[in-house]
Amino acid sequence: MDTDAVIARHPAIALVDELAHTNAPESRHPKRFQDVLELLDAGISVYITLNVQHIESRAGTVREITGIPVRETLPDSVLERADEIEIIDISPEDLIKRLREGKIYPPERIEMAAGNFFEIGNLTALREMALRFTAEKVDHSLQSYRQTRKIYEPWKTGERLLVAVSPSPFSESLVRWTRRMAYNLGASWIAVNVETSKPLSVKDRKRLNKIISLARELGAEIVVTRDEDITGGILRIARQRNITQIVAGKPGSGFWRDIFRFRTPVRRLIKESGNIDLYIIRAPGGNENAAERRTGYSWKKPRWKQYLAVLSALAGVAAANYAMLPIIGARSVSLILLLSILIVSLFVGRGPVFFYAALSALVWNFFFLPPYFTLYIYRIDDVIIFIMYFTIALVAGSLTSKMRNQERSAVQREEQLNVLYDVTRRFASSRSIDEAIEYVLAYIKSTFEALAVVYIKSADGSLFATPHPASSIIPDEKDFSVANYCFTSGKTAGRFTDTLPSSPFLFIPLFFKKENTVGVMGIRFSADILLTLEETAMLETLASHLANVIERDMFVQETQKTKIHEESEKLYRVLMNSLTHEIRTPLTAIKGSISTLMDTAVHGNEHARHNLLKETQDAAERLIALVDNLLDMSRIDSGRLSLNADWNDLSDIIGSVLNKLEFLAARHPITVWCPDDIPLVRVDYTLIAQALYCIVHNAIVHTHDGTPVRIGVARYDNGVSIVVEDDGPGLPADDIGKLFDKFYRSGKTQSRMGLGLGLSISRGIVELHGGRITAENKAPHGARFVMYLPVAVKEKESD
Amino acid sequence: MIDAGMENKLILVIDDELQIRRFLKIGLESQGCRVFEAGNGGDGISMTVMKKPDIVLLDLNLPDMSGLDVLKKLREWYVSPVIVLTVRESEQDKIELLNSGADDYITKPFSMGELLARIRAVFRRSRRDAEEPVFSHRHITIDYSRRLVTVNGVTVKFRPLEYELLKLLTKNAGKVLTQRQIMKEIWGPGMESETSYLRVYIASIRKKIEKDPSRPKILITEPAVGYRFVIE
Repeated sequence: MDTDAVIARHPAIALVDELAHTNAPESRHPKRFQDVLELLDAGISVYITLNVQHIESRAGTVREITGIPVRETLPDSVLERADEIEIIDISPEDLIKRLREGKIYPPERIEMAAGNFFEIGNLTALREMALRFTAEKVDHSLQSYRQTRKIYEPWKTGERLLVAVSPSPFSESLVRWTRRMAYNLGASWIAVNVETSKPLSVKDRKRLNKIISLARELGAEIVVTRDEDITGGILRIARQRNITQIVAGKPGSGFWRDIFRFRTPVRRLIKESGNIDLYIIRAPGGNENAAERRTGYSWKKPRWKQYLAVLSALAGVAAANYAMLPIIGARSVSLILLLSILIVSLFVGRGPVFFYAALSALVWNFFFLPPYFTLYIYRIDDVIIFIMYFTIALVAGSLTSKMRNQERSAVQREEQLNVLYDVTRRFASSRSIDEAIEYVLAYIKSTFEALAVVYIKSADGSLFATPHPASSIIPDEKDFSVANYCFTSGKTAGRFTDTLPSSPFLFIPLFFKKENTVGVMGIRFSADILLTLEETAMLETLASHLANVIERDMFVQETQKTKIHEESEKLYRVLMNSLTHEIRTPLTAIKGSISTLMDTAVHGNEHARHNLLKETQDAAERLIALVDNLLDMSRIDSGRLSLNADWNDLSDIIGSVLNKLEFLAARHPITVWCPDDIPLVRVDYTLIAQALYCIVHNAIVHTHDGTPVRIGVARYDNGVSIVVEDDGPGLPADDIGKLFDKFYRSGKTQSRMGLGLGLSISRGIVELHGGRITAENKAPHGARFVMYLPVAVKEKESD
Repeated sequence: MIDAGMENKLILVIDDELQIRRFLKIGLESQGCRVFEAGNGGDGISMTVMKKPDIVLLDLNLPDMSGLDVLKKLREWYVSPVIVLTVRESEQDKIELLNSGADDYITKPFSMGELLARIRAVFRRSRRDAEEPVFSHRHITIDYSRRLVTVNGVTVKFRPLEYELLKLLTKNAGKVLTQRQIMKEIWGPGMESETSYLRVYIASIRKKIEKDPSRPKILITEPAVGYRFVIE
């Protein structure tokens, strides 16, 4: 089934056969129903067909009836989304007839199927199941109908079920049972797993994960809590969540178990559950269960070293006591041995402690109690001491080992807290996304020895296909599509999950708030790793912290963008206003002058004609200067302006500027003071001439006709400076700081021409040369501009 | 005032802007020239072949091909002057134009007077190619045969390289000479990039021939392109 193609065509209704079908291994989802869910999410209505034996909550029953395990199952939660269920009923005889006619399987499979699944008994049972399932559903719809119509009558209010799950395989049927129960009651339900500090075997953890995901598929809310006391933990959650009914499993009964475990969890539940109803479900095949349980608690590593150590410790203690026996007496020895048990229990596990305790009791009896070298005890008080001794040893061993377990988990939790604290602190102080990502990746590398990759949302809202540069691994295209799925769905995908589990990566969406996924973190673990719940939680916490940092950064960028946008809006308005003004004024002059010229009235008046023509020319010059300035500015702004530096004579540059200004400059006495010993400088001739032009031009247009302007060149330590000063009114004091800003025009010069670009062009050019430009007022009055050019110089030398 | 040198000259304008062509036609015909127009490079080339104009005014922005390509094609056989009309092209482009055989360039917008002066200058230069022994312009007179320079009637002493430079510029009076061309000509190949010598010599020549050396009027700098000895 090509889900993407179906979504692309977007039909109103899609017909899908065999909802419980398992997809080919490389598909996006392992199960067909997941594809169907995608279709539903895409807004496509789906008609599906399904055999009753594939319904998850019925699978156990089907196996019991037919003896055939059902591999392909469909989570009930999926079926709950169905608006309507219609039963397709056929009598078993007719069905078998259809099978015989070859309408169901190819001929070679008919015989086998008829002998197995298609037995009349099986079919009848399945038929009944289908009918009942539909009946339940109908009943359910009736209830919700009642609910919506506010018919309260036989309504069970607010039932909430809790099922306690453990790694035991029996938990699976517990979960199924609870789901059926919850469905019939119309109640919500949660599945609780209480973790203790006891490490689970790989097998158990796998099974637990499977059971938990089963419960999740069946619609349960999953709660994982940590408590050394399983029963206590279950009850705590039950009270927190206002649970009305608890479902627990009854372990297979056995004589020994009943004798020794007088406080079984079930009994404690009955005793302590108070007003919560309790369902105790019998486990099938109790012995098998017990065997499993034992393996569940088995030590991970062989402890023979510890046993050896306690054996030699006992030998040492016993020998020392034996030597001192005449002085201290047998009773003291018993106390010393007890003390040694306590000390030993600090260092080794529970098994070795019990071993040590038992052995030391025997040793005490054998070596230190008369009659020596026998296990007989004559005196009644010795018997009492022996029994107490044994009990104390057991209790002490058990207590210390429990203590040590708690200590260990406390340390573990503290470590996690430390990591979290560290993360929070670092993230709070990190200035950039990069830092935060690097830190998280380093943490993943050191903790899991895994490589990781981070993808971030791009500006257009899709996932940016290039991984963040800090990533320690780059996934191929196929894995990126998994990342993309994770990003768009906001769900964890890849390894360890239901979606695309064949990918070597586990992709975790980065979000702080669910609706805003800002990226994806992908982790490639080594081949045979299993994540504990804490580790998964840790990764998710890291992901959400990271998301927070990224989101913050994006927000900052967004704000900056808005700010820049606002500023450019403002600039645009200012520019448009002044442009309109700057263009319209000369155009008006041109149009006005020319229309007057065409008028016959002025034909005879040579003087008027001349003046009008001159006005036209001036206006044209002004337009040209405007366009030139804009072009220059855009060249400087775009950064496309490159220095074409060469050895140049400043007096030559000044000369060309004055030539260009000739027309305007005629009205001002301009003096140039450029000593002969001013060296050649390495500058861009055109640009420096342009910069100087703007300044001199300003000096001319902002002063009255006849105001003297002086241009001078001087050396300073790093190069040469060019000074332009005038004896005009000077610069308005509060304008000096803003003079070089783009489109800045002094309030006083508003009526004058110009866009306010000239000085900012000058500054751009001087800065391109690595120099700076200053403006100040001079005494007694007038403005002074200085361009400092820290450029290479070359003494003029002529032969 | 019709310039005798311009009368009856055949001028071809290659420009895609009708308005520019019209304005040039009016201005040039008022000087007694005959003007042909071409709206694109291809037409321009074929009209050059057919009409054999005395001068071509070539715009750089043409719809079918770049003006530079037109120039290169023309220069394969066409020997009369070509003046390029540019729109703020970079200095590098101007240098390339000159090296590709343009006699001069003029930047838009320009006045009719400027254009006419340039046209006259290139015509005069082609006339002068017939080795005039004496150059005379304004207050400057150069007697090439005697290596004698007089400014305002007074003989001014020029050092050998200064004189060579002045001679090169006056022989090409009115035309821009690129720095490279000058360097190669005066200092010989391999020295083209040592332009700092050139700056010094230009400055000292100016001191001898310009009235106000800080505002040169005769020996002017074409920024980042080269120098021009102005004759108008």
